[in-house]
Amino acid sequence: MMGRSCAILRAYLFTFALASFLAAAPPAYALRFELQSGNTKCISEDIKLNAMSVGKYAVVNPSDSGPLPDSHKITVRVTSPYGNSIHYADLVDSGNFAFTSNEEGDYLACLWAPDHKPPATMVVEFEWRTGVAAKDWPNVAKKGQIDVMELELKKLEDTIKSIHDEMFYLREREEQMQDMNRSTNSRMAWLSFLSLAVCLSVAGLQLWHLKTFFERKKLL
Amino acid sequence: MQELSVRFTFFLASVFLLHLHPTIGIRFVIDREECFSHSVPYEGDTVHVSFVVIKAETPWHYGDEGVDLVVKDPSGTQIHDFYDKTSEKFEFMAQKRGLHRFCFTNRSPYHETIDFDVYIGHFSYFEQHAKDEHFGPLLEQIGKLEEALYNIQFEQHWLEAQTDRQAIVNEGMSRRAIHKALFESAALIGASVLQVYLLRQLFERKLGRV
Repeated sequence: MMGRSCAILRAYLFTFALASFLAAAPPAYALRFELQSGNTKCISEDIKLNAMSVGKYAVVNPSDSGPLPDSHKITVRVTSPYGNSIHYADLVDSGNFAFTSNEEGDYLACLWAPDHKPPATMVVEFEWRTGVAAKDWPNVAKKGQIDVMELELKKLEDTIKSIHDEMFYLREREEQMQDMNRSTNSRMAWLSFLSLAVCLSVAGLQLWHLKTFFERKKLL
Repeated sequence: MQELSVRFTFFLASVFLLHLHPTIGIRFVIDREECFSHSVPYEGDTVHVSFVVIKAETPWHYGDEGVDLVVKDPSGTQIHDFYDKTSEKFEFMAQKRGLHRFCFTNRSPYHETIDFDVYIGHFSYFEQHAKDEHFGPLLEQIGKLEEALYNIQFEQHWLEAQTDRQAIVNEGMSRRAIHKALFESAALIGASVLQVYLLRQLFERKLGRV
């Protein structure tokens, strides 16, 4: 009895491991874009504090067989919002980067294609995941020996937490915008009073100056 | 035989669930034209797309020009097109599987930052096959929940991008209010000084002649 259920459990674990291997295989859901020689393409992503971030890039081979030609290499640099370089790779055709954010703001990933005559256009496959999506779920499963249900529920919990955090962030931004709108409103009121005051005082000065002028010239 | 089919459906369910990837939201700077391709893995998937023009790269320019977006399926036929929009959120059912192209064309003469997001919902496929194969009902429900959550994340990403755009517009408005007031005062003072000067000239000339 014990032996049979053990065998079934092992069978299920093996099936799950196989499935996760297949699922982790190619990055078929990455974004592709074209890069011309001598050009730069930059992609930015807004990352919160202490969020894990994982990125993968690869030059798509135009011919199905044979090595990638030398002209199809790119230089990649990932910078933080304050300008620190997080990842730098010179003249490679594929690579990946991973980091945990220490600063909050816009992280920039720039890809350069070196100059080449005649100008070549290459297709680059790029993937950048932050937060929940960056966690390597199949590995978590292997480490903890937990079953599919629990893994999926854990994933859901993390997703919900990130949605909640994003909502808090949105609420903060909304409050900032309301404050700014209120201040703009009051500023416009004060500034229109200022305009009126300037207008009246300038008119008064004009009157006074012209009056003294005419009195001096004995016209008034 | 029963055991094998159950195992097979379990395997399929795991592959499906582990393949459910969330959105790919990115921000990029567009000059004249920018094209992206994204692969749709299964026919019948719902593809949700959203984009928001965050700002123009110049501090002084304010205009409402947007961008054009043309969506083409793997065989090159146009599925959707939008002209001169600053923000748009839509979805369509992919008729073919493969690389779909999304091409943006800039309408304004300046560089613009665009926030672009694509989310592929697999659940339509799930629904059709749930009847044929007996997915564990719990896994099915979990799959549905996951889809809904990724949908929420997609909407939230769009909201965030819209908020950013509005924040930039508001800041611009606040700065412009102050600049307008200063210029106005300067213009008033300048105009009145000019007036006084001209009147004095006029009367001095007239008095000089008389």
